[in-house]
Amino acid sequence: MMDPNTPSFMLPPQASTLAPSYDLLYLSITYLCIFCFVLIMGAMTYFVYKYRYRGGEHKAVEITHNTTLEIAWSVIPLFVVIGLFVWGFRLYLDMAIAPRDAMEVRVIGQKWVWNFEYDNGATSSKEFAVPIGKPVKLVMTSRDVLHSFYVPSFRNKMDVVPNRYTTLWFQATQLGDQQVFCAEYCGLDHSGMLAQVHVLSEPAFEKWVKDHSEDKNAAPHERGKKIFNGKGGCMACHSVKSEAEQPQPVIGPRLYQAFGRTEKFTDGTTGVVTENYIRESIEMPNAKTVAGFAAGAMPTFKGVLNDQEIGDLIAYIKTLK
Amino acid sequence: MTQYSPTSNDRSKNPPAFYSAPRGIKSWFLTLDHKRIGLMYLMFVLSSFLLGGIFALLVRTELLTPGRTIMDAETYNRVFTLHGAVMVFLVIIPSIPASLGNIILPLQLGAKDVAFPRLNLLSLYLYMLGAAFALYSIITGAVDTGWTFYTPYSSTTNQSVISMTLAVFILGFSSIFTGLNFMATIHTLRAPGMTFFRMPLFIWALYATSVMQILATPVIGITLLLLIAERVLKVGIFDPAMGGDPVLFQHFFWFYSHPAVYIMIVPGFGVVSELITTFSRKAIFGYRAIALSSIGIAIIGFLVWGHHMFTSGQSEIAGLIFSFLTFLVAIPTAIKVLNWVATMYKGSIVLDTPMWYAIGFLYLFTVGGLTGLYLATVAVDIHLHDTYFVVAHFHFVMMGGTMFAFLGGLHYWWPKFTGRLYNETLGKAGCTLAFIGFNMTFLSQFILGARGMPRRYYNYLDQFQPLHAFSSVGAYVLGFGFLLSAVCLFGSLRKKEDSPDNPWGGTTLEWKTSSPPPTENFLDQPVINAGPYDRN
Amino acid sequence: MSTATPDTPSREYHHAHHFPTATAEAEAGKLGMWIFLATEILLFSGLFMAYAAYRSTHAEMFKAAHHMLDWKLGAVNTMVLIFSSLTMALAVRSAQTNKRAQSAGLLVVTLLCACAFLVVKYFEYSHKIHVGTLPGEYYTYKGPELANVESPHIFFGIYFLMTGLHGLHVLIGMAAISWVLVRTLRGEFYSKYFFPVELVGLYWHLVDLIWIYLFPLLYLVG
Repeated sequence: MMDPNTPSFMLPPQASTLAPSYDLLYLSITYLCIFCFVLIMGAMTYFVYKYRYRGGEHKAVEITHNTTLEIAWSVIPLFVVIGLFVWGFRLYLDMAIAPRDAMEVRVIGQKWVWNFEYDNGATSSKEFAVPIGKPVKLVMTSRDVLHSFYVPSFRNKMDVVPNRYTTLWFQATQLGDQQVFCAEYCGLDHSGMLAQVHVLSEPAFEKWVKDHSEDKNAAPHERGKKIFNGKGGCMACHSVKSEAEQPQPVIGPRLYQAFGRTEKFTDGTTGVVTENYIRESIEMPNAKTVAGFAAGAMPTFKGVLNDQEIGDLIAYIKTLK
Repeated sequence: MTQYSPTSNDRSKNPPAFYSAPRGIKSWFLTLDHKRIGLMYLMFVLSSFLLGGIFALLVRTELLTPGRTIMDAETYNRVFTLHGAVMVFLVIIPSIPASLGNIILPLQLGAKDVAFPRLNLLSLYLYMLGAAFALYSIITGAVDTGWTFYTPYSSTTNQSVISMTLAVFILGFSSIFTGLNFMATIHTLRAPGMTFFRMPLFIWALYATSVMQILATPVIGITLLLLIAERVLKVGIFDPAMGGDPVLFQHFFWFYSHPAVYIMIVPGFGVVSELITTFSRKAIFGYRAIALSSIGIAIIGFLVWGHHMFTSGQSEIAGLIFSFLTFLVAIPTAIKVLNWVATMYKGSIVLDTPMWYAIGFLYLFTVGGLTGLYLATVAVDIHLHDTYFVVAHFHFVMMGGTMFAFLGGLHYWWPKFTGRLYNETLGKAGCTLAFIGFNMTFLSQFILGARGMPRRYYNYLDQFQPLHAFSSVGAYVLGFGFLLSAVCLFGSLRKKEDSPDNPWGGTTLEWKTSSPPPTENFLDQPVINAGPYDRN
Repeated sequence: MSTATPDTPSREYHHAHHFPTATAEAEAGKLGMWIFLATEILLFSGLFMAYAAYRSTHAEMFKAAHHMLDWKLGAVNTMVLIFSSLTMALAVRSAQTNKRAQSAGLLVVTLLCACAFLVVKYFEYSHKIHVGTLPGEYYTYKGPELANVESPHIFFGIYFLMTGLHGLHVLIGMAAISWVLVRTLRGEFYSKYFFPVELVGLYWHLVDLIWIYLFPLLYLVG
């Protein structure tokens, strides 16, 4: 019996209750394919060798029909594929329909970060925790374009669609971190839209959730930092480090030492980065575009971030010195 | 065998070859001769293949290492999109029908031309216009939506989406008119005595393809028009913020694009039938089964589009129906492969270059087709969708399938329409190198995908690098193989015409006129009184 | 082509060289046009599918929004197009029976009907532009009938796309009819060669048929 933690030659480790059933079906199809391939290609190779033209007269024998054979090789594959279909479909129903007592976690996908919300208000970005051995159902939506939530070691995947909710469920069977990918092309940093699932024991899970709950006593700039890297997703486009520390090109203006700086805009005017400027940029990003950056690239966060959150963000940006 | 026309035995006594007279560039771009139109298509398709191939090599070079290798993410996203769009719309869909089909179909039917020669010329012009729009899009910053243009990304992104979608719209009409022309030609211009079941299998394949071109392509036309309307007029049909449905776009898109992949492969099936029967020196096994299975594939192919959308959020019932129908379409396809192998049984197999390509096709298409079983099984597809497994599957069937069949047909009919024989050693070397390179590139991608490597990724986790690097090396070998084939074929043009009428011993009508044929194809009207592969 | 007068029945017709007979050429032409019409039906079918999809998810909105369309104008347009199909069919018959002047006259009437159709559409469109019942983000209508309806712009998006694409085909049809009219006046058609008129007629019937489906779906859906 294979150690589920190590990857097999073709498949990732088995980290969910579905994975062994999935792998059994996958392996069965593989054996079927190898069998068919050897049969057909074997026959072909043999014929090419045995009936190759050796010069002189061509000695082909005209055989154009064999009704028995033709019926056999139509009907037998038909039964085989029907069998595959039934097996695959039953497994699919198991994969698609979550158990009734599954714990719900909300997933919000946006370019290019995964955000998570729990029932009790805990939030996180780029990572989330689940208890081992309990079914978890993800209720997912997108803020902008199509994404797809994919956990190879759970063998499950579901598209994340704007203005709609889709679901994906799993029950984790291994402690540790599992990789999450975005599997629907969503633009520039599609390959960077990754996340981690922390599969924890029950007490560790409870502690994690508590740590990630809203801390009312946190300072505004600490809350702002959380929003910046989480719900707001700002770090996808705005760097908070200096050019020397993080030189790669960023999509929006660098916010390191931005507060109080004089910016030049595409319409020729200039302005200072103040509290009001930041608020306007968050709610109406196209009111002013900094020279050298593309207009219309930043979406509006009006209605997404409330007044307090915008205030927290401003506090955080002020700390970037 | 009766000879209906000039032979290549004494060229001095013959009317001029179709490409020799009349002369001058106007006589080419205003021609009504299907053979000249086919040749011009061939030049364009091969040039587009080169362009698409360069994009492919750029993609694979970037993927040699994780992170940045030779370009940034934005450029990479454009390059993979263009590779897909150029290959699908400018190369594979027109490849066999527009070039080989145009040249050979009237010859195999015993006709003087297609039913609507001026429409044929219009198809060529539309191809050129579509290609021009595509080039314009590329030059003005290109698109990075993926060749599938999924909304809402494609309806909101700041790029040359409109010129590229217009290009595809125009190319769609080129494809429709070709299908229309072929269908009318097959119905009305068959030689006397050539009933439907006496037609060569290449013709059956082109007929099935025409049905699909006519019925499916208008749907991509309206889909792209709607995408343009979405961008320009902000209609809101696919925009979720305005109550639209982005998954509706996927339904529209794949309703065409699935039949499109059968438009790509079915002509290849037709070519392979011709190659196997000729180079086994016997009539094809199961003629009716192969002929009717093309029609069956065409019909069922319209009903399976949802298998591209198993993870889109569509209902489980939809998944059930699409999975079942997808399995059904595998049956006529398998029947063809089995019939081809059975044809080789007790044949007299001549291993010339075209047959090497046919055998390569059988191997590559079998792998591609069998891996389709994984993707048709709904449960298994969930893990594999949008990973490199799918990329490997479709390259096996589209490139290992269609392009190998295309190259096989090109090597088969090359002496017929150029009058030259090429160097067999070079031809076989090109085929071998391409075959080896192809397997290196894409077998490794099945493993990458099953291990969880998603597609359209600029950056990737370190653990995937060895397989990516191996795949990239394979791509260069593959490219070099194709280059060798090009050298082989184009090098033959430096010689004088030296091909006999029938260098391969084929039985269909095109081999009963000179190599190359005169403009009017046959001097006397051929009359048919036997099946296409009868050797008595 | 011989130089005999157009109405002389003994005038010769030389078909294209790649067809064995003139009948084969005519049959092929007709088959070609039918295939082309099939592609046009599929082109519009995408829009009909979009209509069906949104009508099923927004049934109430469709019922409310369609009242903004004047069904009487739609009915007038339907009558006009049906009548133009009749005159077109008669024009084909006249060309076949060597009645050049009559054929030309009927083609002119068909064109006038098409113009009338477009004029009515002009009035409909300009009214909508005026009140703001437009697609997508251009929708600005604030009247009471649609005050409590969500996303009415979807209906108008479908309306403008369907009638717009149809109107474009009316224009293309008018161009084709004009071309055939010019050739009729030049005396090119007679009993042995009239199929360009026939083929344009087939196209025009399709344009009419599409409207006959559009009209109830858009104007009478309540």
